[in-house]
Amino acid sequence: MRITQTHLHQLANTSVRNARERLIEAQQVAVSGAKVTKPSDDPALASRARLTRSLLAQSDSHQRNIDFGTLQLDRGEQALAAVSNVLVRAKELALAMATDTINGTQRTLAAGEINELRGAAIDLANTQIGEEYVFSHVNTTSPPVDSVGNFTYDADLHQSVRRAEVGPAAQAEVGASGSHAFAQRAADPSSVDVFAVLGDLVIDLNANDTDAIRASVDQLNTAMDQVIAERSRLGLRSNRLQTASESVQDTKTVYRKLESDLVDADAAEAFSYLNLAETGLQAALAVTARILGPSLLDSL
Amino acid sequence: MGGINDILNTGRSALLSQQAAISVTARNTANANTVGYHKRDVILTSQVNPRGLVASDARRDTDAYLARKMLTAEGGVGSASAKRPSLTAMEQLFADREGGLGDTLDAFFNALRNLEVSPMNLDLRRNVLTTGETVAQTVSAVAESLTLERRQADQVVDGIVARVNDLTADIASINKQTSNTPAAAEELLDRREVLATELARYVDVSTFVRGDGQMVVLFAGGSVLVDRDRAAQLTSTPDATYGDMRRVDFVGRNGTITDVTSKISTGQLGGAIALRDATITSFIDRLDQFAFDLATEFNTVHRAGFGTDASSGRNFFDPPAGVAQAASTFALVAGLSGNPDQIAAASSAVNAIGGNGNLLALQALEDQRLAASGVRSFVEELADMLGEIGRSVQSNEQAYETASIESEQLILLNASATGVSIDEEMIDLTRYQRGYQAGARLIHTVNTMFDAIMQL
Repeated sequence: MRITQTHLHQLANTSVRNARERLIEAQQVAVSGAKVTKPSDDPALASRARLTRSLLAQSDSHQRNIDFGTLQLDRGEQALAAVSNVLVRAKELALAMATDTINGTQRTLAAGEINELRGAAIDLANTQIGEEYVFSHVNTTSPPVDSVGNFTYDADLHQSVRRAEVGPAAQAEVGASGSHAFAQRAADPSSVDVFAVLGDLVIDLNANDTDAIRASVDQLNTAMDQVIAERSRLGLRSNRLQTASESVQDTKTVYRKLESDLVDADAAEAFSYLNLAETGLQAALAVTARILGPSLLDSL
Repeated sequence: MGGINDILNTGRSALLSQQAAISVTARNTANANTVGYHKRDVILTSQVNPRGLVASDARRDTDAYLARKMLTAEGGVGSASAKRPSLTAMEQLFADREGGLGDTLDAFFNALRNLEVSPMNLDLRRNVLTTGETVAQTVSAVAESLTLERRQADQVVDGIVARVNDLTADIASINKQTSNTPAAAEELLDRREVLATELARYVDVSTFVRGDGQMVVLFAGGSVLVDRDRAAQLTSTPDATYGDMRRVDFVGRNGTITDVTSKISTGQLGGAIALRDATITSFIDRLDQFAFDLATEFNTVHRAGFGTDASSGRNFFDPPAGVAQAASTFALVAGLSGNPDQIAAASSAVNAIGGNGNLLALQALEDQRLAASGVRSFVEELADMLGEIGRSVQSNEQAYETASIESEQLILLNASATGVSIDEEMIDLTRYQRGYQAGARLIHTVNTMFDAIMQL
């Protein structure tokens, strides 16, 4: 074949250009650590990586739901524990005041303390995280119980606890129920209004009514059982969230690995490829210099 | 048997012919790097009367088959290179990055999901509005950019058509000159071939050369673009049937106008037309369908829910008038952005304040197969578009590579047949130089012979 100047130079051009292109590609992979930096590098991988990132973002939002839910449950549990203590103290007082050796003045004093305890219980029922009320079923921006111990919402109507998604197609209860913990509900005839029980006790103490005070001890027991029952439910919900959190972590690990497998370059491979490309360019340059160099012009 | 004068004449013809040969070599050497230059071969012919030598030169011709293949390859290179910048820009639009389409859609659905835990939290509500607005803005920004890319692809058409008309006019005028002055034709032939190659880079053409040396340029579909000294014209006019893009017409020699827009398949013009009428349009349509589906499906569920004021039936996104333009007009419904309380989180009026039943339904839309006629979920549809643009860019790059390599190969083949090799020319130079020296020696010898005779 007849080799012309155009031929020689074109060939030199092409080989050096190709070698440079390969080096740039190798450089990009080595610098970014990703083998797919733009969709056209590998459309199928890029598309799958997008879906994986979407699932990762979804898992992140599940984790946020779990974190916030756990916070709410923990605060609720703390509050219910405190309410239990309040009720224990109230029961002690009621038992002490139910004995016949106590006189009216002492009962009036006790009534004062019970009233304080009732106030404390109301405050606990209105426990907040930030500006949100933990025991609200509905409007988390206004207190579920007002200052005199009346529920600001219909406890029979709003009994269910808020649910949120904590995993792919998995929902969990993420709130504490004020209705179940503190209110008397039509659905449960044995339930009592905790604040009313305490309020009645105050009235009974002030009225110096020993029988009624004695009777209120049972009521207090019921109230305590009621609070503890909700507290244990909170514990169960916390466990559920804990499990969900573990599963989210597992899911995230899987997706991260998948994403990494899809788009990340293997460092060893990337650098060996970079070396190869570098050598390739040097070879192309050296060969070009040798091919273009000699000419009959030098010898004539 | 000639006399001494005859030998002198032969010597003279040798000198002149070798000189002419050196001149041809010089011309070849000078044009070693000239694009389109065809090597001139020296043809030395011995002559009987007067005895001696004549030199002439001949232009090496391109193989007709090779010439045709070169034009096709040029067309492929032109088409792919015209699509390249736009496709790269589009790839950037769809690329997965922070603030990209997929990322913003994820953020929106995740904001909805987080609102479930605390539906009355104003910050979380605002976050839903902001991320929703970002989705709408991102989609409409991408749609706008696509429309802009389409318009830019169209604007190229005018320039290419003008250039095509220039080139065909040039080829026609060279045809005319070659028929008038065949002697000076060789340079013109080189030039005509370069023009034809450039023409092929813009539109699909094929050429052949008639026996009398006149080039005929055939246009896509066989209509005659150039014959002898007459060139037909292409015109471009904005046309509503092409979505206000330019229609390309072929104006024949007798003035008949034919719409050839869809017939141009390769070259930069073919690339630009395919880009604006097929590639970009398909993505705009897809994005429109995506925006329409997302807005419609989301609104349907949103209307069923209740805002904190216990009223329902409100849209979230501005309901699109139709699939067309749905992406570029994608926006939140008017008046929503300042009123996070209107987000229909609750599924009943009783739970209007603090309920989250409808949020569960809204965020579930993320994974339901509601996009692309129920084949894919919204997230999957975006990922699929990403793959699609990736494939488009990739196949265009491959087409470009293939056409470039083919074109380079053909140019090399052609250069091998018609190009200049310096080594060859140097050898020739030496050869003719020696011939010239020999001729000079001949005359010198004759001169000596004359001297010898004179001294008798």
